[in-house]
Amino acid sequence: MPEKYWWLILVLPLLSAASVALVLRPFRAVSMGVSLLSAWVSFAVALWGFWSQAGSPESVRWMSVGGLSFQFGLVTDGLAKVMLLVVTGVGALIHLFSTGYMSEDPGKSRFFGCLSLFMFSMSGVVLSDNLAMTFVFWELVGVSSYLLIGFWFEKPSASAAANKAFIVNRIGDFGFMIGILTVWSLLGSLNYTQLQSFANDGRVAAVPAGLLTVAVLGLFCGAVGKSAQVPLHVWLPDAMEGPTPVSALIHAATMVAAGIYFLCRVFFLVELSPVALSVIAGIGGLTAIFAALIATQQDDIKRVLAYSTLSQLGYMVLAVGLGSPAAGMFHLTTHAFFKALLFLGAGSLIHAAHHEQNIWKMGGLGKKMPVTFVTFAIGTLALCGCPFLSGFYSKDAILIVAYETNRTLFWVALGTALLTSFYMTRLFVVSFLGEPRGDGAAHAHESPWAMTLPLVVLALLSIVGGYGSAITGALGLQGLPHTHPMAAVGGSVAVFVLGSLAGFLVYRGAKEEKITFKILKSKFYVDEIYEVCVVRASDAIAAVVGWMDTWIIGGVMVRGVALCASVTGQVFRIMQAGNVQVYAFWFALGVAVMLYWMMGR
Amino acid sequence: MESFVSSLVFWVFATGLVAFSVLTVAGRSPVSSAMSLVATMIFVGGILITLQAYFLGMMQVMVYAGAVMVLFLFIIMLLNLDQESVRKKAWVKALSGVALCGGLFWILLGGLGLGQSRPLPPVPQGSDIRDLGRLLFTEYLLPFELTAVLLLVAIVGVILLCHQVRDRAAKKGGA
Amino acid sequence: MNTVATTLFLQKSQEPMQWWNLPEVWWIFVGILLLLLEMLRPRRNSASIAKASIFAFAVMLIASLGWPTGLETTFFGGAYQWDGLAIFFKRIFLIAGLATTWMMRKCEAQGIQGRDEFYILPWFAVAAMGFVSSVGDFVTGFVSIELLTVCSYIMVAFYRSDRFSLEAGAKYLVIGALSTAFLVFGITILFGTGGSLRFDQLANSLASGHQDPAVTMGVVLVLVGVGFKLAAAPFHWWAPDVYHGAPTPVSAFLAVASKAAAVVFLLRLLIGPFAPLWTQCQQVLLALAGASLLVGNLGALSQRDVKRVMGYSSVSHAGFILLGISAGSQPAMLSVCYYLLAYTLATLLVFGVICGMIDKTGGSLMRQFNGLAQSRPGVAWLMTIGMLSLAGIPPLSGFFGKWFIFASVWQEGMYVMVFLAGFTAVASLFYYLAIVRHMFFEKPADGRAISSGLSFGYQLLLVVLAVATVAVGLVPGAVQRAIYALIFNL
Repeated sequence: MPEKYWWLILVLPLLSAASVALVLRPFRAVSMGVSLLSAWVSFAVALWGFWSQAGSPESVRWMSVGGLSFQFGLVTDGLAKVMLLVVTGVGALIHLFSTGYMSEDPGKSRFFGCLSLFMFSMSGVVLSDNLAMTFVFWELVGVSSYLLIGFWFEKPSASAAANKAFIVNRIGDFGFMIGILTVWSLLGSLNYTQLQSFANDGRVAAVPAGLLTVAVLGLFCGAVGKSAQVPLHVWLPDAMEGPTPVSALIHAATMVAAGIYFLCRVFFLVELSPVALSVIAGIGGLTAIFAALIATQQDDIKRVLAYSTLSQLGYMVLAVGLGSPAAGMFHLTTHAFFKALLFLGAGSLIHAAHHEQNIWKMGGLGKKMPVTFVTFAIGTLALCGCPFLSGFYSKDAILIVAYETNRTLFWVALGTALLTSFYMTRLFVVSFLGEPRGDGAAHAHESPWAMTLPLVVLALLSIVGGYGSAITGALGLQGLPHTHPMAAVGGSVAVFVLGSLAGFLVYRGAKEEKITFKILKSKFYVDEIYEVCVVRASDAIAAVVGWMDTWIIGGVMVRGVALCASVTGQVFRIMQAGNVQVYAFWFALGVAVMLYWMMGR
Repeated sequence: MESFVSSLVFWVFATGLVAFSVLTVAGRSPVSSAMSLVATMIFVGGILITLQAYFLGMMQVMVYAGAVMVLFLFIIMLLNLDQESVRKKAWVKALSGVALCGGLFWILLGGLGLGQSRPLPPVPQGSDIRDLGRLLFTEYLLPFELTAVLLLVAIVGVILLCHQVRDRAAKKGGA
Repeated sequence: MNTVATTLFLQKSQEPMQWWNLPEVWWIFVGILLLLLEMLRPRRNSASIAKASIFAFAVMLIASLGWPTGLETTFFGGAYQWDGLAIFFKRIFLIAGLATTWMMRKCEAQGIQGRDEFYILPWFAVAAMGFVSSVGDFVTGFVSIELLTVCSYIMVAFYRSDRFSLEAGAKYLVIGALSTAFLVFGITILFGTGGSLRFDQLANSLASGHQDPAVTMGVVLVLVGVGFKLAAAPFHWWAPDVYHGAPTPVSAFLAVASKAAAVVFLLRLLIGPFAPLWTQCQQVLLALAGASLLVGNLGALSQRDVKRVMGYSSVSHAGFILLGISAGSQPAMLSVCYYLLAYTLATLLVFGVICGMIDKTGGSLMRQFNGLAQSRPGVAWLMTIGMLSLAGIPPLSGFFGKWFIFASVWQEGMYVMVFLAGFTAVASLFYYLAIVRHMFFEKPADGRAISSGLSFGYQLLLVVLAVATVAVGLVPGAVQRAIYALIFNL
């Protein structure tokens, strides 16, 4: 029964994480080996599953509540297989890269344990066949991401970023849960296959449109949080405080793509609500252009890439919102390759330049690190949409869809592409060309093979990923465009050339920033605005609580102590009296209100 | 006529009960508070007697007014508590307390209905000592026995909380 | 000796149950035995009594596995009911009793003056709660609740020389007396209108007279009394102060056992005398639930003391439990039991760590936990598991507790309540995570209060609690089925 092997993809990383956490932690090399092995075997199983057309294994009864029993089953359709290949493949490469990158770190065991935990939860998100399981794995992904962002918890900024990511995601998940509960109460099932059949036989269409929109938007909330769409995007740039391989794996290639994957998974529900579709498209377009604008003015190499990721995720959401999940998934796949490549390349740079992340202190690294230089160049070109590289095809697919369905969003997407070429060229020119501008950059040398090999593999994938008819074929989703209107294709090539040229000309030989837009540099002040809001809100709550403290809780500690000093002999009684009387008063008032309310009925 | 007399008696006792309860709380010196409490106990006993629960009424007066309260008075005198020092005039607090009590009373009145007569539940087989004893040892055996445990715990608690202070005092004296 | 063994372990055997082999009778017996032991013991050394008490709790817990399940019977003329619901809660009480006694031992080992009664009082309290879980009439219910309350008063004020402990005891006493007054007044009114104190008879007579406003009044007043024990808003005022001031093990006891006793009393009322008055009860419960969720979760946000946070957290969990109960369906009842189990394990774990780490009573400021992850990573992780379970992060048991309750409430169509509860659950994350942040991401301040090592036994206790917290979450279905089989006698 070969179907059973699918379970290996879940079981192996879990075993690895558990054994590292419980037993192997003191043995750093062994922990690393176990984790690496589990990742590669999972990848092998995923490859086998992809080619062998193995079906889904039998599901297992998991729990029942309220007469409704949840089966724990795996879904292994084309969509899941493609996503699984991306997750395990990129994951395996990044495990390999990390053996080099983290080789000196004392917390190596912990790192690989968390990485395995992440692989387990991410594969779970991909494979689970019902909303409840998805939600559980979704949260687990959040937890492992929390652990990994805060991996260097000695850095206060890292711990703050971990908390921020976790809490912002929970806000999205709150909506997600409302969405799940709404779906359940509307349709009585959480199983994707069943829901799909309900959608086919018109039962979903019979549901009031408003409620369906609420459900879909609720589910979308989860995706907004996890895929860092506006307005919940603030956590992703901060998440770059984690080790670079983590940024590559979680915050570029896989976890943030989970939102897109999930939207495609439930697309049969999404497409039935036109309102939700347009909201999704709008948010996607907004995120794309918004993040691209910010990316043009960042100095930290990882932050540039982070905002670029945001922007590309916006692209994918846009594609889903325009009714073409296939285009979104296509871009997701190619983006996973070249963005992981870029992040790992950045990691290689940072590693070589002694943890220098500011691009203005790099420069001239191209000569010293030839492999990184070439592969990074390929990644950059792919991301910019250079013709005949993977990014060109997937981005074109989205542009064509936009061109055919919504012209406004088409112009937004095209503008984003222009900005993308511009800021990527800026990043490339400033960090690799010119003269070294910092100590780290001056003494840099090429990274070891464990780090460059994944770069080369990913670079190859970034070149050929666009031709992968196997990938697009296996998706089995509708909506990949067949026509190629000249306006869209030509426009995309034109903005690539324009953007790159502009970037090259402006930043060639530059030693400092040439153009300054304060508002972009400070990221549209979103963080500041949020902070003001949160501070206001917590001030307000604090004021209310403070009022309660004074009048209801009665500051025993403060006032009581003061009284202690002044009133001798009677201290205890007075301190006590004030308080307990007040408590008793509120207690009795509660009784009175409750009685009055109940008797009034 | 008989009902008039019994309701008159009830109102007298009830008014006294409320009045002395207020005095208990409002009294300045601990001794007068305790004496007011004795009076309320006696009025409660009176009301029980008008309900023909003669034994309970007697016990109420004997146990509470007689034994428990005398103990209280002894303690107060032993501790030699003075008059409570002049309280800060907290008119807002006092007024809000009174208002709350009034409000609660008004709500309860609305629920129970003033002057409405309700059929009383049947008093279980009279209430002389023998019936009471039989009830305690049959239907209410479990709670009755539990009360014994409750008293045991109370005794343990009292000894515990007081004893510890003596321990410390002894230690201080030794050092 | 043979009889004792039979009684304790082999109750599944053919012999029918007798009043003298009811567990509570044995528990009280153990309590009295320990009191006698204390008197006869030659030297003043609490360790032996403590060990005896812990050992006895362990024995009783094991013996509880032999209790006859699937059997519904009554004793003392209906005042005592033996059924699955009672068994479930009695086991929770035993777990709580065992864990808190163990913590008390830990407290004393840290040089806090304790006395033998500290280890003996939990026996009477647990017995009282056992009676509450089997209660069949109002007099028994009232007396057992009072017995529990008196034990709690003494335990809260146990460190007489400590200002906070004594103050907490006094506060608990006064507010408790007030709530007792309301409770007994409510019972009186119900007796007056229903003509009986027995639950089954009251259910019949109240079914006919449920339009009477006096009945509503009685119900509300009784629920006020329950709300006090449950620490549900607006009757929660005591909770943060008392949790803060009481010796930590006693705070744990109040948070877990006392609350569970209130829950089972409420369930007994709702399936018994209040069944015909369900609509009124539901309104009251919903109001209490909403208020508790808001007050508990928002109140905890500004707290800087872990024990005060736990006080408010306890209020908010009372809200979740009440919310589940107010759904009223059979799955909801199961969810509440599951939730309570998860809450019990996680709360005991958290208080266990606090008790093990903080040297003195009274304050346990969050910053005293700074840097715990560096100095004692294991303990920090245990605490994190407890906190995350309370916050409801999957796959820990607390998550499924919330999930089940949300799902069953949602099924009853009370969407607004689910939104409210979900919102407050998100808010709760802030204060639970704050503690985690202090442990992992803050530098230890000088003059740190992190105490020295923990004994092997104590570590074992904490680890068992943590493993149980995780395990109950990993197999939620199996646990639910087990509870279902137990409670509904299948």
